[in-house]
Amino acid sequence: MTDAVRNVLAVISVDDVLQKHGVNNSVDAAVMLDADCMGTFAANVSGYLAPLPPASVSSVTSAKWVLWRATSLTFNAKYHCLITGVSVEDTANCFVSQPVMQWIDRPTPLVTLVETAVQPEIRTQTETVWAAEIKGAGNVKYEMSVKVLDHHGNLQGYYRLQSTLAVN
Amino acid sequence: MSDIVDVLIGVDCESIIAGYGENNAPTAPPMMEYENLYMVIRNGNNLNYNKSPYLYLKASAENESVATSIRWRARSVSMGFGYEAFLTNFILYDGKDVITQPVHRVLETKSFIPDKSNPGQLISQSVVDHFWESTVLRAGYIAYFFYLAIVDHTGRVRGYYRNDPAVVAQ
Repeated sequence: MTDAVRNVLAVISVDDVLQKHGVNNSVDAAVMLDADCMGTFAANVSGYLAPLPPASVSSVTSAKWVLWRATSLTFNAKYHCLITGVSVEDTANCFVSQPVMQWIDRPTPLVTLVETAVQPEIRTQTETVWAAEIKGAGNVKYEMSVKVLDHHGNLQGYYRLQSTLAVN
Repeated sequence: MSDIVDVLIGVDCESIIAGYGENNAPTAPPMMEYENLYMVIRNGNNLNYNKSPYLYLKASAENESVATSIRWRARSVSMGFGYEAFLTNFILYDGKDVITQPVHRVLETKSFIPDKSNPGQLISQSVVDHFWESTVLRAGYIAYFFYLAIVDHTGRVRGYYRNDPAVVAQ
């Protein structure tokens, strides 16, 4: 069995969010986003668990962790999307634990482009992810809360999204 | 003055390496299918994402008061955890007069993360934003290759790959 991490990336088009919903400063009344403003994508990374704490759950699947991340469509240019919470439906508790925020110090590849080839270097970067330990295979419905900042760090609003992840 | 259409390419690096193998061929890499790429585009007031090779965008020609720029960015779906993806080249092979040749640009910017000792407080760290940019010259159809490199967390280049999507500027 290969140890793996199931990565979930939520991509949010903040310009669309702000056009449709405006700036929302109320954390208690976070606006639910629909598919016109966001998409969620998943992929595995195997054999690279070192930056993560040991999983306490003995998984029956190939993956030990689900990691949730969020980004604006333009990555770090213009807007930042910070996850403030991820929760899974009670019925999904048999598949994953309740997600918690983790700080990961990890080597991050950076490159310089030399004609059509890359010259890589490694820099340590800290990222925050929301992580859940996997207990079993199944469909996990989750809700993510996101705080949006502009590139100066000014608050642009609080929003939510819902999606489903297949753990297999 | 310009209008910017952002295109994000989410890359499932592990599946690409598993499916197409490793290589050191930046100028003649293997062709990828769409199954391991997520193309996301902002088009007017909607976010479109699919595995279609065609991206439809509303564009203004350069000689109008608002020209449209297209910016392509690529990242691994894991955002650099384990693997990272970098766009290395664009070759237009149909519709060369519809958009300008995309050029590589690098922006030094910053990201924000919660402070571990005080999560209510944000701290910033510097990051590098790579993107490729082109200007729309007229309405039409463009077919192109984009090339990308996949680098792992040790700094080893695991391979170069290419894909052949299209853009329809309306």
